[in-house]
Amino acid sequence: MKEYVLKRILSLIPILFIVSLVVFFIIHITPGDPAYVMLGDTATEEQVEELRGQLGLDRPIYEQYFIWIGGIVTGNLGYSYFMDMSVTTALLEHLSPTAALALLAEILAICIGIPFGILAAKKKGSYLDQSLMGFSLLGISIPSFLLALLLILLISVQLQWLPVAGYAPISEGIGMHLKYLILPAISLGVMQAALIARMTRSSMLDVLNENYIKTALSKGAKNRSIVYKHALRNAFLPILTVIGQTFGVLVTGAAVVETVFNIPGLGQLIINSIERRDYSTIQGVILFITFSYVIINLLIDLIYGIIDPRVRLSQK
Amino acid sequence: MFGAYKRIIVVLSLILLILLAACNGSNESSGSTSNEPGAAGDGAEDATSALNIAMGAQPPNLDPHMSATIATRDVGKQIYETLITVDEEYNQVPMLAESVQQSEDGKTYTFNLREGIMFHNGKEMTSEDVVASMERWLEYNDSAQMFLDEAEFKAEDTYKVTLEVATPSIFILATLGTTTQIPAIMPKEVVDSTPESGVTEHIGTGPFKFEEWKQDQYIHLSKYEDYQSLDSEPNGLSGKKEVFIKDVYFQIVPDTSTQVSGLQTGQYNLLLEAPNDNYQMMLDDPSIETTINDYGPYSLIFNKNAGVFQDVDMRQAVNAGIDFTEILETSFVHEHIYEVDSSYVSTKNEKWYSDEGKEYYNQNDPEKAKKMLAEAGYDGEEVKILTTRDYPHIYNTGVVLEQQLDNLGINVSLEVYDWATAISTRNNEPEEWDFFITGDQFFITPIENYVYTHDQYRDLNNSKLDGLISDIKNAESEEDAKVMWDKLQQYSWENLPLIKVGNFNKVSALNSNVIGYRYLDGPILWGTKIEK
Repeated sequence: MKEYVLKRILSLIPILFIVSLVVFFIIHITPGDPAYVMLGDTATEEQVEELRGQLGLDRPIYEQYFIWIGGIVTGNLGYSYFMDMSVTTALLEHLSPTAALALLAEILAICIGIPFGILAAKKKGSYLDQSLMGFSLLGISIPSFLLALLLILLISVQLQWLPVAGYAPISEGIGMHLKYLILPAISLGVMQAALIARMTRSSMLDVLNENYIKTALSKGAKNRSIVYKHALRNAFLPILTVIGQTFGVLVTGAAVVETVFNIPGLGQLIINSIERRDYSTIQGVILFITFSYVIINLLIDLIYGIIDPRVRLSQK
Repeated sequence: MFGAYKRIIVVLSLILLILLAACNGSNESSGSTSNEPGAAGDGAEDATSALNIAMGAQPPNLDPHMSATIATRDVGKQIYETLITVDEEYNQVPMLAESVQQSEDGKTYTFNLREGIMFHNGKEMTSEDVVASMERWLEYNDSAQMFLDEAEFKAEDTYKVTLEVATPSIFILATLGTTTQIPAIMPKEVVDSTPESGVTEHIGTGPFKFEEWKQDQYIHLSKYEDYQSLDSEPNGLSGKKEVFIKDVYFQIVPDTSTQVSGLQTGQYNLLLEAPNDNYQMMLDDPSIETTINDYGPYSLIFNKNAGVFQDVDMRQAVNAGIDFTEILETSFVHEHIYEVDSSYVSTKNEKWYSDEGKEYYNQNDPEKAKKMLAEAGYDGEEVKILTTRDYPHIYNTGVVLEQQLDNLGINVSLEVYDWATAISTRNNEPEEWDFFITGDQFFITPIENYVYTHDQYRDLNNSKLDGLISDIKNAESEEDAKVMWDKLQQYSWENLPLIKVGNFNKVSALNSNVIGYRYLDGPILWGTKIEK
């Protein structure tokens, strides 16, 4: 087990190295100049050149790369002159809104998706099954930004129950924290719930047709016990994979919803950094996201072993 | 079947419970200092204590000397003050200077400073601070470099500063009173310790002081209790500055539909730049007031240093054939937001307004244009319009212009980039563009227009244009300068370094309980109140 984890963590090194190379060079060959953004687009060439020199952008590109990668090795992700803070600090500041939003959206998605998927599987072919799958198709089809705008219009503007946009950290109180996160979490969670529901249904149907389920039924086991104890646990591996993937997507890909609801998360940080060509921040955040994605997948792999003894890696 | 429905109801009830818990929780909180501080929806007891302003993008920095961006100007105006400022009619009037004297030869200006002016850090403003600030501003400001020839600021005593220039100019006071990239006065120690990337300690003498900048979320200012106000009537940026708001939050809200929804619910009190598409809707909403703020000229810049528009005949042909009114209508949506006018300066600027060259304006004669194109020897060369989706009006202009040029028989293509890439292409790849679309602010003196001053826009080989600009710069009186400006505007319409399509305005939208709000080259927050 330890060996496996170590191996997976070591495999991160080439992945991060390749990502660092690709990100660095793509960003640096993209037109646009941070000095112009800082000085305004009518700054003179002399002013721009002076600032470029001060930011180290006049050095050869390979030299800039080695300076940056040298910093990464020592744990320094770089410095953002736009935000006047280290990239690590900016990243940590923007991580908590994203993590909170992803967590809430994932909880909503699981709470809705799994029960709906189980119900649909149990009542296969019924109106209930067809309705639930119809809703899940709608959930997958509706873009999150559209759902977000509809929710704002209905819940915030018409009913005035929740604020239109913004974010309150948990230190402001759990009520205040949730008040700002509910609508974005629903906007994000609906699609993930639909995916989880469909996967749960399909996986449960596979398992419910297995011989051991039929045996349990013939032995007079209770329906509830068969579904939740025997079937669900065995059907859970593919569901877990979807949950892991959706969580990865939520942590790293909530940029549009964050923009609509004005949540200062990682998605907004990346968008803003790209617009102002804040090279250090773009590079640092993308590297962090890559790292997170791989780690989330590793954790999911490890949880497989806990849920299903057959895939316990230590026994390999 | 009943059991299945029961479970669905349980799940839905759980979700509803979470929602209710969130709403209840929020009602328990008051006077929040969260990222939406003072918002009407959070149950704050004293709603008048905070003004929440939504702005689309945060400034790159709050360094008023260094950055000419609008966002820097709008926030900086509340924090910083200058020796000279402008009134409603753009006349220069003293602000931090008590008085200004000019020597007979026009080469020396003496500024007597107001005594007892305290910076936000509690230190009194003296001539040392003024000299340090003005020297730093001189390094960055283009207009200062243009009009303040070999300028030197000297501290004569604690409250007296002199400015000496090598060449007298009628534009010196106007330059010192500029409203963008202002010569803000800040403490000497702040100037001395400022890193090259810009000011990080935001200390001025203005009616609001800087509290906090939460990156990509908000900039928080608060009322400066020890502000030393002038007693004269408020007029433009001058006169008495009385503050009725305890806290100001410039909320960074990139999404325009979120801005509008936030204004409707009262979460934001003011939108600095309301989206044009929503203007009619806001006019019809009794809970929203709108103000139209004069902004500047809207132009199509020709690339005069590469491509087909190096030829003035080609520029004249295009100018004859396109429909300016259609471009303005499509780009700015509502007639309140644009003005069809040929002058390079504002219709409200009595000092410099000129209608010279108006016969070339908005001709909208495609047949004449086709004939002129043939005479100019146009042979199907590709014309590239550089545009961006980051600014909807610029994109819309690109689309309409593409259609109009196509109708004239021009082989045209629309090159759509993000704004940073468009700027970079304009500056570094002259072969890649022929038209650049831009809206600028009106300048106090018309020869500050970027098309005359900036290498990215100006015709590098037009010595006649340079000569006319130089004549105005060295004019001995404003009357002489105006006569020369008439000539320059006439020549500009003939030579066409750009096509001035018209003027455009910006719309501010505010809740109807916000009163006393004014705008002059940016929001004026002193004198603004929120009625309970």
